[in-house]
Amino acid sequence: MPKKQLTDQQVEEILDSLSGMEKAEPRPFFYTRLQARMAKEADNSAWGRTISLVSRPAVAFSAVVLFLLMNGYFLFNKFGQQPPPSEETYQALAVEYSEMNSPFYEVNQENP
Amino acid sequence: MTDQQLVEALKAGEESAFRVLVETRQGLVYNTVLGLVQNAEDAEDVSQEVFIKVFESVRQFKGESAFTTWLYRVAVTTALEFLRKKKRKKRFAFLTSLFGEDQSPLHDPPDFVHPGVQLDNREKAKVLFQAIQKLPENQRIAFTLHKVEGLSYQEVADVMPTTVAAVESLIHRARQNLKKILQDYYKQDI
Repeated sequence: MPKKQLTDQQVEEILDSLSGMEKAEPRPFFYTRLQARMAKEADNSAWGRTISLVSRPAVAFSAVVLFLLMNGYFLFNKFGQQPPPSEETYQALAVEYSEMNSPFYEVNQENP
Repeated sequence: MTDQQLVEALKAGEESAFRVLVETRQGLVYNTVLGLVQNAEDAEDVSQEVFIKVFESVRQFKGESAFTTWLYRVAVTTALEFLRKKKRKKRFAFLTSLFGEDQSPLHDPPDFVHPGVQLDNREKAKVLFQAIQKLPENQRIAFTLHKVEGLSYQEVADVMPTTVAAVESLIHRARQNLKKILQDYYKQDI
C-alpha cells in the first residue's frame, strides 16, 4: 500500500475492510481455564479481600484518623477528668514498691 | 433453555447453568472484548473476568433489559476498565523508565489483526484497528460494536445505553474522525 495522500476511495476501502468479517472465538477449553481461575481466586479470596480492603487509601487513612481521635479523646477528656490520687494512695504504693523491690534474701533474713 | 430460565438458574447458583452460559456466550464476550482491547491474550483474561463478574453479580440483574444486552454492557465496561488500568500502568512504567528502574516495553506491538478479518483485507484492517484506538471512547464503543460484533444501531443503543439517533451520530462522527486519522497516518509516512 503506497504511503502517500490517500484517495477518498482508498479511505473508504480501509473503512470497509471489516465488512464480512467472522467472529473470533477463544481458544478451546475456555471453560476449564475459567474454572481453574475461579478456584484459585476463591482460595485467595478471604485473605486477599482483607488485604485489599485494608490497603485501600480511604480505609487506611480513616483508620489512622480514628486512632488519633481516640487517643485525643482519652488524653484530654478521660484522664483529664480524674481526681488526683490521694496521699494514702501514694503511701500504699510506696509500701508496695519497697516490698516488691526487697531481695528475697532480705525478706528471709532473720533479725539478730 | 431460555434466557429467563438461565438467569433463574444462575441466581440459584447452579453450576450447570454457569457452564451453559459460558459455552453459549463465550464467543459473544470474547469477540466484543477483543475488538476493544485488540490483543488476544488480554481478551482472554478480560473475558474470564467478565464471566466471573456475571457469576458474582447476576443477582443484581433485575431484567430491565435483555440478558444479552446486560452481558454486552458488562463486557464493554470490563474491557474499558482494563484499558484504563493498562494506560495508567504505561504512564507509571514511563516514569519509572526515566529513572532506569523498569525495562518493560511501553507500547503494544502495533500489528493487531482481528482473526475474523478476510485474508484480502488484513493489511487494511490492521491500519483501521490502529486508527480505531485513537477515537474518543464513545465513538470507539459504538463503531466496534457495530462493525466488529455486527450489532444493529438499535442493539448498540440498548448496550450503551442511548438513543438510535445518538448511535447514528456517534458512528457518523467515528467515520469522519477515522478518515482524518487515516489521511494523517499516510501523510506522516509512519
